[in-house]
Amino acid sequence: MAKIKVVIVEDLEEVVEGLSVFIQHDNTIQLMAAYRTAEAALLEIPLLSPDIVIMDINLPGMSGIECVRQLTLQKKAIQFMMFTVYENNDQVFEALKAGASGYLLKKTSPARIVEAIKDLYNGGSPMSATIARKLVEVFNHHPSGNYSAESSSLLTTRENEVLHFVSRGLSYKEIADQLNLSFHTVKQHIRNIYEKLHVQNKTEAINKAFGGSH
Amino acid sequence: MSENEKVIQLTIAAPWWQQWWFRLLAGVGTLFLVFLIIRGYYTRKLEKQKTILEKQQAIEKERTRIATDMHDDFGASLSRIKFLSEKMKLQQSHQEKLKTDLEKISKYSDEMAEKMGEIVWALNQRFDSLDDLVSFCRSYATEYMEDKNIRLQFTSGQATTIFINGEIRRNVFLVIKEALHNVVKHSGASSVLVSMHFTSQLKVIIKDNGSGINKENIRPFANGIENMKKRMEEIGGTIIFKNEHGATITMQVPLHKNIYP
Repeated sequence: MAKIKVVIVEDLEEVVEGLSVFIQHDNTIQLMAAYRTAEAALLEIPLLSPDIVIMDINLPGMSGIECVRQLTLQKKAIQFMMFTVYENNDQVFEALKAGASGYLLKKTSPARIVEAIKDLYNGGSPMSATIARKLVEVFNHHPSGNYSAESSSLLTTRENEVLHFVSRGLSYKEIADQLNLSFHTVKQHIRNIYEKLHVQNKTEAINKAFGGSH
Repeated sequence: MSENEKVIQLTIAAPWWQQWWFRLLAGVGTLFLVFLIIRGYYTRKLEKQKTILEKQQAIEKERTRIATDMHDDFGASLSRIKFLSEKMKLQQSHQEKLKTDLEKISKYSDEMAEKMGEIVWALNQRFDSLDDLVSFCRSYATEYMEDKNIRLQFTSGQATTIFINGEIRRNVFLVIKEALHNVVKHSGASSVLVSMHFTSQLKVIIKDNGSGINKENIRPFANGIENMKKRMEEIGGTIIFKNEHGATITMQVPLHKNIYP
C-alpha cells in the first residue's frame, strides 16, 4: 500500500519536530517536507503534490487560511487539515470555508494525530458543535440560527438532520443511533456537507467577481 | 305669595378662573407639563441605558481582546512545551523515571491548555447563548466519558438563543464538570444522565446509579460539594444533592436578570 504523503506548515520549531517524530514513527505515513511560512509552502507544495497538508493558522506573514485558499485553487486533490489550539475559533470556520476538510487540535495526543491523518485520508472529517452551528447559518441564511424544519436547498434532508444533531453537540455515534445510520454513513454525510460548503463558497466568490460586470 | 315680593334676577359673572377659556388653558397647560415630565424621565432613562450599554460594550470588547491574546500567545507556548515533551518521551523511552516526568509535563500542559480553552470560551461574548452552553457541556461530557466505561445519556430541550452571560456559563459548566468528575472518581456508577432544560429558568439534573454521596465520610466529596454550592450562589442559583438509587444533583439558575435592558 502506498504511504500517505504528508506536508507540515507550522512556524513553531518544537511543534514541527515533535509532530515529525510521530509521523515518521508510523510506517503508513511519509513526511515529505515541513515549511515554516505560508509563503514558502505556497511555492513548494504544488510541486510536491502531497495527499494531506497539516496547516497551522497563525503563521508569520500570510495566514494558513489564505494559503489554503490559494492552494485549493491550484491543486484539487490535496486535502487540508488545519492545526489549531481551539476548535471554537472563527478562524477554523474560515479555513473550512476556504477549502480545508478537517482540523486537528494541538492538544490532541500524537497517537490520535496520526489516527486523524489516516481518517482524513480515508474520507472522514471532524466537525464540532460550534462549527455545525455556523454551517446551519450559512446554509439556511438565518443569521440568528433558527433551527426550524425549513431545510435548505443545498443540503439533503439527511445532511440537514445530521448537521442539526452535530450543532447540538451530539457525537457521531449518538447521531448514528438516533438516525438509525451506520457510523460510516454519518461520517460520509459530514464530508458531503463540507464539500457543499466549498462549492458554495466558490460559487459565491465567482458571483462576487463577475456579478457586477453585467 | 305676597304682592310686595319681587323677583330680582341676578347674574353673577363667573370669576376668571371659572371661565371656559381659563379651564381650557389650564387643561392644556397641565397636559403639557405632564408631557414634559414624562419626556424628561424617559430621556434620562434612555441616557442611563445608553451609558450602561456603552460600558457593557467596552467590557465585551476588552473581554474579547483578552481572550484573543491568551489564545494566540499562551496557546503557542503551550503547544511548544507539549510537543517538546512528547518528542522527548518517545526518544527517551528507555529511561523510566525521565519518561514519567515527561509524561507529567505533557499532561500538565494539556490541562493548562484545556482550562485556558474554557476561560477563552467564557470570555468570548460570541458564545453568550444557552445553546452554546448546552453544546459546550454536551461535547465536554461526551469526550470526558468516552473512555471511562460509564454510559452517558445527555438530554436537552429545544434549541433556544436565550442570552446567558459568560459568568453564568462558566459557573454552570464548571459545576457540571465537577459533578461528572465525582461520578467518575467516587461513585462507581455504570451510567449517568445529564439533562439541561429551560422553562422559566435553567434546570440541570445530573443523576447516576452509583453509591450516592456520603457527605460526612468522604473529604474530597465535601470539598467539591462546597465548591459547587458556592458557584451556584454566585450566580443566584440553587443546588440540591439527593441520594436515591445513586446520586442526583439538581441545579436551578434564573436567567431573566441577564437579558440586556
